[in-house]
Amino acid sequence: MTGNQTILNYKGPIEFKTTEILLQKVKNDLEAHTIKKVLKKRVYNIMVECVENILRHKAGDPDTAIHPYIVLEKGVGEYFITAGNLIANNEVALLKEKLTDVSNQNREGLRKMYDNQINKENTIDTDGAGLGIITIAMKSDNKINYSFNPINEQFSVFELQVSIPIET
Amino acid sequence: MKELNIESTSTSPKVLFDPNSNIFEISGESRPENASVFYKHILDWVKDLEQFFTDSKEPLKTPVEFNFNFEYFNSTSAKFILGFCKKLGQLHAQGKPIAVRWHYEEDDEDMLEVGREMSRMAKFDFEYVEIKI
Repeated sequence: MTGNQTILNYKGPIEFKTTEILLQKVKNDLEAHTIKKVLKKRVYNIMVECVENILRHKAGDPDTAIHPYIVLEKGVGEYFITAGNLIANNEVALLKEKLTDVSNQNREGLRKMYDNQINKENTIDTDGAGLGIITIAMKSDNKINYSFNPINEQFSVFELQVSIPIET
Repeated sequence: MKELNIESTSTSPKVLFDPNSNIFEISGESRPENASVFYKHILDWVKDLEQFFTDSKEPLKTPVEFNFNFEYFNSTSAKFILGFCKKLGQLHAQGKPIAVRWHYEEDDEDMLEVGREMSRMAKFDFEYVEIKI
């Protein structure tokens, strides 16, 4: 994709403090964009969920130097987010199942999933790809893609791509 | 009724529940590092409010009107905000004088929609207040 404007391109360790710095930058940069406020908030919202997903689920492999990464770009008719991190191979199947389930839903289906998930008791710490992914799907009109690339017997790189259409 | 006053940070909202000035407002951005710890203050305060209603002999002169004035909240916070709304809805259903005013910036239809969803799930009618920018 040529001609895209890069707003954020970060690769490195991510702790809570890092998320504050990255998201503040995104927020400030989006302020200057001449788009509807609701769209700025939508992009920011999805960035937060992506960054927090990384924070919650990132695995560390001492044998590789693969850090989490997050990229936000603006194209002609869309904003584009790419987020990647290592996950343990034994978590891939469950995450893939959840993502497939989410991506097969229409708007009404997503709303039902959101309802079920938000009304579940005591799932905050084990949220997994729960409310965050559903929120991303709802806000992006389900324009999400993902991939899992195994790097060794223990770990894979999980990449999530989200497109947020610019409405006029 | 107790007072609850929490200053905002870059990742957590300002909370002011002040019975003396009759201001009950939560405002700003919510994505705290530990949402369950942050929202425990609010949920504990609601328990105290429930006790206050149980103990008070005379009805309140003015209803307790909660102003939700969020700029943004993340999905984890949403879960706790819904828990708070549900609790307020239960008290309201018991006839306690409680109201919720859900503020949203004009053109932020997402914030309006999430308010409507919260209201539906909490079984409690909110008043929606558009903020002109």
